[in-house]
Amino acid sequence: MSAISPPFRLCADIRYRQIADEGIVLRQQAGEVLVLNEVGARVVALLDEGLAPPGIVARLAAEFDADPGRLAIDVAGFVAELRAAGVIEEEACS
Amino acid sequence: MAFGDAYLTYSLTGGDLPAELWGSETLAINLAGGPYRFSGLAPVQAGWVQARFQSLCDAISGASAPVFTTIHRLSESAFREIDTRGWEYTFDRNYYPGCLRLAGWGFVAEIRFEPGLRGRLWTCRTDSERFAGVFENFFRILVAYRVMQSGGVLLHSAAFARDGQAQVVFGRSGAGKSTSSRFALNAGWEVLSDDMNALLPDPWQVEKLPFAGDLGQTPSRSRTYPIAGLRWLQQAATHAVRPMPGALALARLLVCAPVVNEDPFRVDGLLHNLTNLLGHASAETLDFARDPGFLSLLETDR
Repeated sequence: MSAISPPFRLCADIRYRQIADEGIVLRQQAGEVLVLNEVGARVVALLDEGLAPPGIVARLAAEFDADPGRLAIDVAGFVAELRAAGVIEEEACS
Repeated sequence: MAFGDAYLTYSLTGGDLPAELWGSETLAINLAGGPYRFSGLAPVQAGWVQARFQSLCDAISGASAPVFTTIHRLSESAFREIDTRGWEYTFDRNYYPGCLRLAGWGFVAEIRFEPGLRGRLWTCRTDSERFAGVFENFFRILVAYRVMQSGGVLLHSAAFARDGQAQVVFGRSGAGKSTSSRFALNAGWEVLSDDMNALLPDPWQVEKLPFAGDLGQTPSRSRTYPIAGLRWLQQAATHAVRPMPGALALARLLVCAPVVNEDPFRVDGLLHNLTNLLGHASAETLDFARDPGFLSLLETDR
């Protein structure tokens, strides 16, 4: 595993929409829709903005007044789930 | 398996398909987003369309229809024989930025999106039973896109109307759309459709379509009604109406919007329309115990 957290992007078949504080992820190739709670929606929105996990942790810690250490673990776990589910992929180096 | 392999005896692309029309009959079907104009029909095909769509169907005057489809002849040898025993029918769809291509049992079709919605349907069928299947499948897809282009959504749903407003009940297959529709009909509600309805904006309303499920077509006083509410139908031991978060409502509406929800080039428009809809109509979960008791919940929240 790389020690450097790369930025991610939404996979090509993914559509993401935020509605109120929550979000939905449409996985078109799989024909699935995922509903995200407020924090999950925020993580996906920040990934979509191009932030890497450390930047996301910093933003969430400020926005939710949460412990950065705890957040780092949770964000890493959620990002891993999103990758495994084919929602996000590593941004290709240019 | 490549596009169309399941249905076609050889590979066909747009350039290979013949321009020959079946005949010279032209008709228009006037419903949500239409009229939908069909040209090149053989007399027997036109006769079936008129009998099927009855008062919705007009001889066309002028060329003003926003949706225009031509019907083309394609040899029976282009299509495979299919053993339909135990067969679950799904047709092939290929999505492109400017068009959608379809292949199914006895037909190939193309829908182009710009400028305007234009369809071409190739079939070997003129017999009523098989042409009916071809036409119905193609037409529903055409309507789904046209309604989406009009800012709305074609929704797998039942719609019941009373006192000038309609409840739109949507859900997965088997959730009880036809059963709940039957209860509503027996209780004096008008049922627009127990399977497929068009929801259109400005202001948001539900429009009756001639696409019914197990209940069949039932009479109604009006073709359109304002939307009183959107209800996600799910079976339960007792009836209840429960709040549904907006994101969950959007997800559930999306899965009930056929064809367009799988189109990578047009799904953004659908999501936009659904988000707009949720800004104008309340969406809740309707627990349904497969008896008429749920109707009182729909009455009290109007």
